[in-house]
Amino acid sequence: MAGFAGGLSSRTTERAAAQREAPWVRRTLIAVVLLFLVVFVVVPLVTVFASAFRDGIAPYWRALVEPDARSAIRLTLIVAAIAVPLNVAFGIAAAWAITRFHFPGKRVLVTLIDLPFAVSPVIAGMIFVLLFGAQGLFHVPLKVIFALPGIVLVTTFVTVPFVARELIPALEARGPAQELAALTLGASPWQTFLRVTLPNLRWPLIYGAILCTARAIGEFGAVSVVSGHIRGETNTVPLHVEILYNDFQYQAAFAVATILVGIALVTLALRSAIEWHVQRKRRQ
Amino acid sequence: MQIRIEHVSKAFDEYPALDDVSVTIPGGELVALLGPSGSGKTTLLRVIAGIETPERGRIWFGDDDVTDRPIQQRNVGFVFQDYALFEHMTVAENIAFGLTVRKRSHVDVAARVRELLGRVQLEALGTRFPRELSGGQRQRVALARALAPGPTLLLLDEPFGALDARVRSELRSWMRKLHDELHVTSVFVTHDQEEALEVADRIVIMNAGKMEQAGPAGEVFDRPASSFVMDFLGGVNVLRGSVRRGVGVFGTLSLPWDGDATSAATAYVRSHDLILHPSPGPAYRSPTDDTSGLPVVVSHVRRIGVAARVIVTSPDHGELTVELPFHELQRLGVERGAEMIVRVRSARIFTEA
Repeated sequence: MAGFAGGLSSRTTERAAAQREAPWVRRTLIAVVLLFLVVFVVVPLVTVFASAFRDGIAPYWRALVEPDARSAIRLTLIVAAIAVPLNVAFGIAAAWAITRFHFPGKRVLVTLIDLPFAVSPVIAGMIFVLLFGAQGLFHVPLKVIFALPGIVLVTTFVTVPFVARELIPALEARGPAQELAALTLGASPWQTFLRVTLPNLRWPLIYGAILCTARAIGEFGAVSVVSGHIRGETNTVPLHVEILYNDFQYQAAFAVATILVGIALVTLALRSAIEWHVQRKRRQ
Repeated sequence: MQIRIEHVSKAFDEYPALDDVSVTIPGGELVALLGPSGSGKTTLLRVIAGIETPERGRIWFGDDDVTDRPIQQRNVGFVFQDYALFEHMTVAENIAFGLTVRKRSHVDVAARVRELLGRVQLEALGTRFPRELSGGQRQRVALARALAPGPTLLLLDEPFGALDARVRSELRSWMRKLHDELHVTSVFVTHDQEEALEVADRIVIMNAGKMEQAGPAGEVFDRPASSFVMDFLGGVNVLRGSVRRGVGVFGTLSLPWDGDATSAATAYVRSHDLILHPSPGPAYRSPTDDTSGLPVVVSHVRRIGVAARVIVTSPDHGELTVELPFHELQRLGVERGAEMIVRVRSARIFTEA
């Protein structure tokens, strides 16, 4: 602690002032929070892993490598590999347009970007069925609903806000000065984007992309509506877990679920690592 | 290279930032764009750089009309007010940027960066990042980066604005020296008249989107073309009165005036052009010349280093400020409450026509 004393002294005094509650209040509050976390977070997490490994490593592994599970994992990765780059591209374009140009309807655009957060994913899925289904408004020669394109479409829809929402405040805070400086130094707009804008945005961009990926892999509701649940064809990992569960294959369901839980934990770890890194840089 | 600005106008949301501005900047000079905030000086600088597009008027670089030329092709170096250094690049990479986007060879770039780091006295800091530098160092990196591609014109927006007083005065004289070595036509924006008078060869004074006066620094100071210029260049007392054939009358003070008209007039007198005299009586009139004096009462005396500032109150003109060397103050025995006579060494008279 001695090492911290110098730089943080004022902050610690402030904290000391805020800590003058009676000890029993402090202990009760901490106990309530801990209890809540144990009941709602730790116990379910442990249950997932305990159930997955109930019969040992071999059945766990078998549940992951059986053909339907492998197909579900492959499909999920393909969907994420299309939806995430699409949203990164859209996020950069939208954030750039919103922070650098004035145009009518800008506020509406900002609100629209958040729409997928506000709409229930099931409704989102139904919207796409209405648009592209057999009796849908659009008739495309490609099979969209109950096929890969539909799953990609709804996944992209529900993950639209992640990248744009990270980039807009980052771009707003920085202003256009560095880009203008690059232009006066003779850089083309493309060179300016690649060498000045993008490197400056790399942390919010990575952060947004990680959140976007986690959601794209974990999305259930919207995908469930458009997928048709065709085993080995249009099942993603979350849908596969549901099917196994409904078939009373609890151990296998939880085994596949560990993939999703693992991704969630990795996302959290990366997110904390990036936040820590960015804050350290800002302090310098 | 000579820069010509012809009848340039620019408005932001109806508000005229530049209103029919015409000015010529001779090649090789260091020119100050001086004016209060909102006078359009920064807008004019950005129009010259190509960052803003004028609604009317033309910009000439030498014999080339560059009005429609994009920023990248104007070959200007621009130093932004907050420097706008590339935070993710080292000092050396910042300076090299203008060269590497032009695809110069690595050897050339390295040599040029070394040369510029030497010129701005930052040889040892090439591998640092901008956030690790002081304000004055960042400013010099911004200057080196702007100079690297060999611009024909250097533009600086409030180059000393964000620095503390001591660093600012060091950098001013350093920039003047650098300009004398390089002779790149340079224009800098400032709201500080002292800075303009100290550093610039030529001053362009802006007010409310219009060009008030342009000329060599000494001329602008000695012969201000308008009351605004006189006022803005600082330390000015305002006396109201009138003029008639050959003479201006400002209360009990009469001043020589070379004109025939009869009208209301305002006399502007810099504080160091007011002279304090011991008072021989209320109706004092100099026997040797036809200028007269104003009876005043000293209301405030303040020493500022080797100089002193005295506030006096005149029944006709209210408070006036007199500046004089401190030893003069002592010799005259100026103190609060003393009755004295103020005379005028030189004044500028503007008639209200």
